[in-house]
Amino acid sequence: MSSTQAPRGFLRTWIFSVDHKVIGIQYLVASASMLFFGGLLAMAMRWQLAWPWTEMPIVGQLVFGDVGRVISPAAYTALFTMHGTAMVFFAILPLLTGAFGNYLVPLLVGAPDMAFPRLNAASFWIFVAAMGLFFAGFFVEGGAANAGWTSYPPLATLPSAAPGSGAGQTLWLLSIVVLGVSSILNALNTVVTVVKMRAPGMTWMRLPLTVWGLFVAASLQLAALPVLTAGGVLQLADRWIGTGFYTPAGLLVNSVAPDLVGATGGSPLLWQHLFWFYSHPAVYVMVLPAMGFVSDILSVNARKPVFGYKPMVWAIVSIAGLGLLVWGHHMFTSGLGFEMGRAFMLSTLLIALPSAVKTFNWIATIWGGRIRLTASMCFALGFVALFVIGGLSGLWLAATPVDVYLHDTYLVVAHFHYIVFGGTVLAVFGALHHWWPKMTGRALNETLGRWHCVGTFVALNCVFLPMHQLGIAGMIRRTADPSVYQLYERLAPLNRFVTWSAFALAAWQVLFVVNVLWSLRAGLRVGRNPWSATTLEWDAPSPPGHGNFDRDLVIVCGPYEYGDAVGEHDFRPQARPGV
Amino acid sequence: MTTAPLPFDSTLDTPRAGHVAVAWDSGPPVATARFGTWVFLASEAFFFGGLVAAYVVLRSSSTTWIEPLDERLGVLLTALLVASSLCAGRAVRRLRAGSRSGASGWLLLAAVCALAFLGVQAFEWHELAQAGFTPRSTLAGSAFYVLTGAHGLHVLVGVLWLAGSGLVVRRAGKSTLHVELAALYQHFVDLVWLFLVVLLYWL
Amino acid sequence: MRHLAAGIVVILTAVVVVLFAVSPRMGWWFPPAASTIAHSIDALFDWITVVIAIGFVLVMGLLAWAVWRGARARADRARTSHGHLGLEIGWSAAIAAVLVAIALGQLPTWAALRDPAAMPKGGATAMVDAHQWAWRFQYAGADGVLGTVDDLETASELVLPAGEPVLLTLRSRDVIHSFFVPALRLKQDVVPGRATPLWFTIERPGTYELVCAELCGLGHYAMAGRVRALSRADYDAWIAARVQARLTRGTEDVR
Ligand code: HEA
Ligand code: HEA
Ligand code: CUA
Ligand SMILES: [Cu+2]
Repeated sequence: MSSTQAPRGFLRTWIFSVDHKVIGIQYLVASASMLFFGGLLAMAMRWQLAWPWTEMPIVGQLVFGDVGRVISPAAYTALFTMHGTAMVFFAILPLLTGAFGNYLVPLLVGAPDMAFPRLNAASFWIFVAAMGLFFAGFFVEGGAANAGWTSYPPLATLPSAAPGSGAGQTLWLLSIVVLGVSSILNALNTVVTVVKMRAPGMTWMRLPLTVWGLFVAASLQLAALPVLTAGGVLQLADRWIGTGFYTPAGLLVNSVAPDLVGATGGSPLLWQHLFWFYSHPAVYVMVLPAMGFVSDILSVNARKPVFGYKPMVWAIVSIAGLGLLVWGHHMFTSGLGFEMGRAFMLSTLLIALPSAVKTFNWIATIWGGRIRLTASMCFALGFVALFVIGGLSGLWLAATPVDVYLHDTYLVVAHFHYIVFGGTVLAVFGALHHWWPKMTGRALNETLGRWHCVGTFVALNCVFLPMHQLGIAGMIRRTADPSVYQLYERLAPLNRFVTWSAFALAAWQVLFVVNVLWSLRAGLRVGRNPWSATTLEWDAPSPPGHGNFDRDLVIVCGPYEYGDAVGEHDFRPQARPGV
Repeated sequence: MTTAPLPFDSTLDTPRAGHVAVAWDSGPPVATARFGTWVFLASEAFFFGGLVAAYVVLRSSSTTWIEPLDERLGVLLTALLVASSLCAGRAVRRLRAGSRSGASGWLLLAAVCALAFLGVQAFEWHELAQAGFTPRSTLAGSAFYVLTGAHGLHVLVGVLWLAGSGLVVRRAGKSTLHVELAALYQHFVDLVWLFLVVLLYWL
Repeated sequence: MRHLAAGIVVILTAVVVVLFAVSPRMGWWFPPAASTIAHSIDALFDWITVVIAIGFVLVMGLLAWAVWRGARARADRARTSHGHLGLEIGWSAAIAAVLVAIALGQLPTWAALRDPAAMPKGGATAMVDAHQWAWRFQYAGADGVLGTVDDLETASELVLPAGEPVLLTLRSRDVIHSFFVPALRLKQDVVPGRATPLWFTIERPGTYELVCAELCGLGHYAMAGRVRALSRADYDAWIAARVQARLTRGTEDVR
């Protein structure tokens, strides 16, 4: 990346660099691979759900050779546990905060680098260490953690309750705690960079919404993540020292007192509170930056300012604020009290308001625009459509009595995959198409990109839409074999349809991989500002050199000056025009 | 129809003179590092917040909660940690007054106090364990050892940091920022303890 | 391209609406409601669905229209507009109203489900005992009190009187399970270390599948059971028979 510097060795440039752009790309490679890995686990799960206990071709041989190429119940529980963990903690969060956060924040605020470059590099290598711990879990006795990505005790804490709750769960906890340290350093860097290192004239109300999303997400991490770490420390103590935080008195696992238990009298619900106090805000960390990307992409390609910039900012901030107060909606059936349930129901519905405001502002942004349907624009529009579906199904879940029925059914699975895959992952693809030219100096192929978008959009709806029906019909999640219940008889065809669609979805991603490789070789070379966009990164060379900007910046206007009233072009860059 | 061909804008592309070679590798400016430390401590506060919340929940819902703790030790521990944090503060003031050696002395003294704190705490742990109050014995034990343990680790970091900067600060010309940050951190650790000691020993 | 983009959104909207419309006929829908609470839950679900559907069609329609109109090739520029306070206030108020309606609309049902004040008086009808990976149930024996030596016990099938409020006490010895009877629209986690009450009224006699809904280990997927509801008379007869069998055949319980 260091085009403005004397060429340095591969190691210095790509491995031990402290340049935020390099670290961002390191994060991108690492977390994209995790997305891929999590996707493969999902394929195995889908196989089991469509054709339970049947030999899985190829993969079965490789992974489940010992159990006759068939997924065992133990293997299945480990599959979705590690799928969820890989996707949430190792793919989506680092893709947004690590990859894009690192790459974009300094460029968009007009800073030469992150506030603490060495700390930044450290956070990436700690992330790699966490990945190591995560994968180690697959190779220990008893196999990987298999108490779900939510790891509820006592199932997670008693080795005699589940095979994966031995060494596997310990490694899972360690990987989460270590990852937490990495994320905290990353969030710290982001917050300090935005607060302290904005270029002259870059006032708060001139920050692009991408920066707002990443900044608020980082703040959310700083507040909520330590609480999960605390919870993790307590669970580790329960396992290693025999403390009793999560262990109620008088347990009998298949009618023998479980080993390792020392003190008792603890509360399993305590973990649920600590876990969700982080993991609900985490779901907003998984969407706020994506919302930022989408706002920018929509505005650039509609050649129109973001509609209602200030309301958008306030929506982001209030989503984050309220996000800290709604964790109880994951516990409506857990024995949470009557009043508590009511309170969390109210706060949860409240949080739909800012999200709705954002949705309407997106539509108003493209309304009457001069829309360029670039690949990134297609993905951004896809985000809006699918976020709406995922969000609306959240309203069913927020209605406590309805949630009593729908909790732990596939409707919940449908709900969050719509937002997280249909929403966030599409936004990530869009952001890649949008900023790839800046990162590499070469554009991705537009036509290929559009077809990748259309196919992915269709396929993922085929995957996740029928899951609503499964859930409404009462099919529980985390089940290795729905055919156990007559209740689910009529659902078998749906499950098979979902599986075939999931395979198609995965296969279709090849287009993306091809596009990436192709563009690295032969992609169209681009100038500084291929999209005629206004924000600062487009004022730097593509790719930017060390220190990012090759002239000092003075910011003269907001980030979204597009249209007929902004000067001789239809856009007005934030930085003073070229000297 | 498809999109209009992307207006690859080359007007901005002419390389400009005067590349601002940012002197970034010399590390971030002082103000940034100070603010960063504050943000970090804020996040740390949430960590202890989580632990304390867990403690309060468990204790309030328990009928048999006995902490056989010796208040006098609690007082002693508090005194030591407050002292350490005061010394650290003193060091910063000496430094502002321009005396590096003075600062160094106070820093080392602060480190010693903090170390003494850990010593006393180790002794207390030993005594309690002898009396049969262990992490495995009761839930109260679990909570006590994990809370004080988590805090103790932070004190240990404080000891190293204070001692380290106490030694470095002697060398003239070296940046003095780390002294200030070490002191700040020690104040934080001290503050957390004030909460813990009231919670564990007196409530 | 713009036809494709807008078209996909429209098609998706149509597919969603149609799919939800046909699902009940396809058996991809709630099992028939069998408890009094089930009806109010279904009603709640239905009208929230209507609200959501309106919001959904509206938003998707606007989206498709904006794309279709906006993506035409045009030489002129878009109007520069940074927002409109009136609009913001307008749609915020509209959504807020909807959300308040949903919030208030569900309170009575939630109270009926969980408000301790709504708990039926008089002791529990039966005790539910969940463990990896099966259900066991206890009923008051000859002495008519639960939790005594002469309790009756059944495995995997819970027998209850229909047409009157019943109160269950849920307990687990090992990990968290969840007592889920889709036909009754009831789900309650069974957390070890506490006795969780659950009350409801089954409308008519019949057998309803019991599902464990909380991940509880390898056998979670197969932790199935049944709830068999009998008329009061049949229920008394069933209990009596059990008591008899117990006296004659001794404590060696009949499963
Ligand atoms: C990025 C991720 C993300 C996001 C943004 C959300 C957003 C929301 N979520 Fe979601 N949720 C998850 C990820 C996410 N969720 C995950 C991962 C789980 C499961 C975890 C697990 O158990 O494994 C979960 C589970 C979950 C539950 C628990 C379900 C259960 O386990 O029983 C609930 C319950 O209230 C809920 C509610 C909501 C609500 C109300 C919103 C709201 O913020 C949505 C607001 C958006 C809209 C409302 C749509 C836009 C508005 C309009 C289109 C205008 C029209 C509006 C009206 C007509 C009102 N979610
Ligand atoms: C947060 C992100 C996320 C994402 C993206 C996904 C993606 C997918 N999930 Fe995920 N899923 C979760 C999070 C996620 N999931 C969580 C948290 C759970 C709960 C776990 C639990 O219960 O404990 C869950 C559970 C879950 C279940 C329920 C299991 C059960 O309860 O029994 C199912 C079932 O079908 C499922 C399926 C899928 C499928 C088919 C995809 C597909 O979309 C996957 C397709 C993607 C690929 C094949 C990879 C493609 C990527 C590339 C080609 C690389 C691209 C490169 C760049 C982007 C740079 N998931
Ligand atoms: Cu018991 Cu799941
Ligand atoms: Cu949530």
